[in-house]
Amino acid sequence: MNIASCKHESYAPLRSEYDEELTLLRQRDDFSEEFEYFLQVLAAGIDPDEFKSKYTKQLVGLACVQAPFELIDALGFHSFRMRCGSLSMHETATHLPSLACPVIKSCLGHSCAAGSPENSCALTVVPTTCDWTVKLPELLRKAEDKIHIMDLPHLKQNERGRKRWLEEVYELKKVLEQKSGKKLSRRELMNSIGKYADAWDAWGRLVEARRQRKISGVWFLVLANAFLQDDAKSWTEGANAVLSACRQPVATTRPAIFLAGSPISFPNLKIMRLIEDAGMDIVADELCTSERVFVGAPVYDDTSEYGLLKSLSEKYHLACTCPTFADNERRIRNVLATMRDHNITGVVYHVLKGCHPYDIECAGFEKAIKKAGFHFTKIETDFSSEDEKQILVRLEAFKELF
Amino acid sequence: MITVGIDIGTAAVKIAFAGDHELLWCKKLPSTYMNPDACDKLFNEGLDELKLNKSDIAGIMATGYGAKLFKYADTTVNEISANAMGAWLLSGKTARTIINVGGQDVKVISMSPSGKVADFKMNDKCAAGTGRFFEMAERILNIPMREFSDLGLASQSPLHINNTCAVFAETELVSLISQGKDKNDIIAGLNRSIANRIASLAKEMELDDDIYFDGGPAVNQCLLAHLNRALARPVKVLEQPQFTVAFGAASMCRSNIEKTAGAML
Repeated sequence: MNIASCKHESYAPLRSEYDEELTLLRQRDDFSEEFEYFLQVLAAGIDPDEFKSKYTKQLVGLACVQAPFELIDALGFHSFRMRCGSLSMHETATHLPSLACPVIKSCLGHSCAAGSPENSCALTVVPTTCDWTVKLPELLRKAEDKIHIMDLPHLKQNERGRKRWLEEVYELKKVLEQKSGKKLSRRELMNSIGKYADAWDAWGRLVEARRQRKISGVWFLVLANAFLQDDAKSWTEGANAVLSACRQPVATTRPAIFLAGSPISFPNLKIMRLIEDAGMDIVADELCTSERVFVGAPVYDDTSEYGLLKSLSEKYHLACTCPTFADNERRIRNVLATMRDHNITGVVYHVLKGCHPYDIECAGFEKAIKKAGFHFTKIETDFSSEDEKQILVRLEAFKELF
Repeated sequence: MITVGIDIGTAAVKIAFAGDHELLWCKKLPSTYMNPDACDKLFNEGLDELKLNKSDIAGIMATGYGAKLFKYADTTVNEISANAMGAWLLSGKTARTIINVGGQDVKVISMSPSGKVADFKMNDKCAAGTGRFFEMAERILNIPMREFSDLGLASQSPLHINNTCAVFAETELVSLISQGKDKNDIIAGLNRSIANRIASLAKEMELDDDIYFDGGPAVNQCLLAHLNRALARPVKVLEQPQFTVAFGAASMCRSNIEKTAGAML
């Protein structure tokens, strides 16, 4: 799609933001034609008509990755993560406090833009993760039948929390059944789980390719962001094409970095690019817009509807290491294990101003990382580009620690 | 062998000519639009003062936010690494922590026994505690910044300045002036407020006993006194605190040349 052809003039700043980032991505030395498919997926969001003609099913917008994609797909909807990385959309949410989370501001800006995919959803699903997300339904001011809140239990390591989340998954099923006018079929749910399992399989190989530096951190994030917009089957085909064309691992002295913290979303890839410019490679991350989207396929023995929904419920709840959970020791354990297994010796901890859960966990995280003998630096920023130079200075100095 | 380090910062351009890891000559000029050729001017002045030709200079290393702006520079280096090396050498290789207050940032750098950066913290996108904050106060109080030290020390009862945010502090200063408060007390309060801000960043690190303070505001004795108090330990100031980074760059330039020559033998 040619962004310049977009008919919605009110999208001009967003269009120029997208254009700028897409141009930068296409100009990269490691760009290959296999990536173009994913750039087209991300670009589709700029033109609501294009998006709706690409994804003809009824749309379900997701405020985070906690709602099971498979369930939504099985009931005939196209789910997508509401976009949340645009500075121009962020700047439209002027009525929110200045220190409000930029992700929520941007998400709200997209949702309020006339005709946008976010504004045209049959249903918006909001799992109650952080405080800002809890307030999102109120800010969106959508009709009651257009929004569904999933009450996320913030304790996950006990039976009570798991039971409650399963109830929420069942409630989502009920709401989607009402919207679609059809009952969930066990066979269709199995098909959807299979379709997403293929995506998880490709994803696992992409993770491995990034660990071996066959694919850069920036492209990995582009693919992950595209997954959150795209149809799983088409995405898997595109990902397999990328995997087939992957470069060979190259011997390098560039330090391998783990990127932790707040989400990073297209078209704002500032931190990713600055880390690369400073001479480091992001070979792993825990972002909910990147590697943490894909925690694996559900595991089940019981193939009844209950068994399948229970396995989905557990996958999306128990395996999640978002800092909004109260019992989240698994987060640091996972990061340390990944670092040790893949010779990663430093963490860049990204905090978006206003993203309180990640900021709160930062001090303890830093202590644990340093205690384990690894390097750590925290970068607090927002969507604007004015602090790029200062951040680059820090990252260059950080690189010299290795 | 003589090498040159040039630190192109947001508030000033600083240059240092170095011999065998010793400072031979240094000078600074403000980095304003009035001084577009500040780097050239300083470089040529240094050559004249030391009676040298450009060909006598073995190498030039630039650092700071404008590191890429000086056309004669052979290489560039990150200002955090240059700062650590400069402070370590100028302190007689004893410094283990350096607090640097620059035009737009505050850095706390912890160093290894060999003068390399071991860890560091910087303020986030905010002018609180930086040279910009002092510039704002200079403008509002209409008192040259060089007098902030003596006037602050002359105060018997420093005022409590609530805001470290440069924007809100400006309003607070205007309010205190209009209330007829003593300017010395305002300046002392300002120094204390900034020292507390710097100390809170420094306390995020594990501080060693040999703490040094550099950058332009390090010549302010009142600020130093409050910093000592806020950190509850003595903080030392190097003889030429504004030129530590430039000198560090000059020394690193020399080390690089020696390393390259050694590798070729």
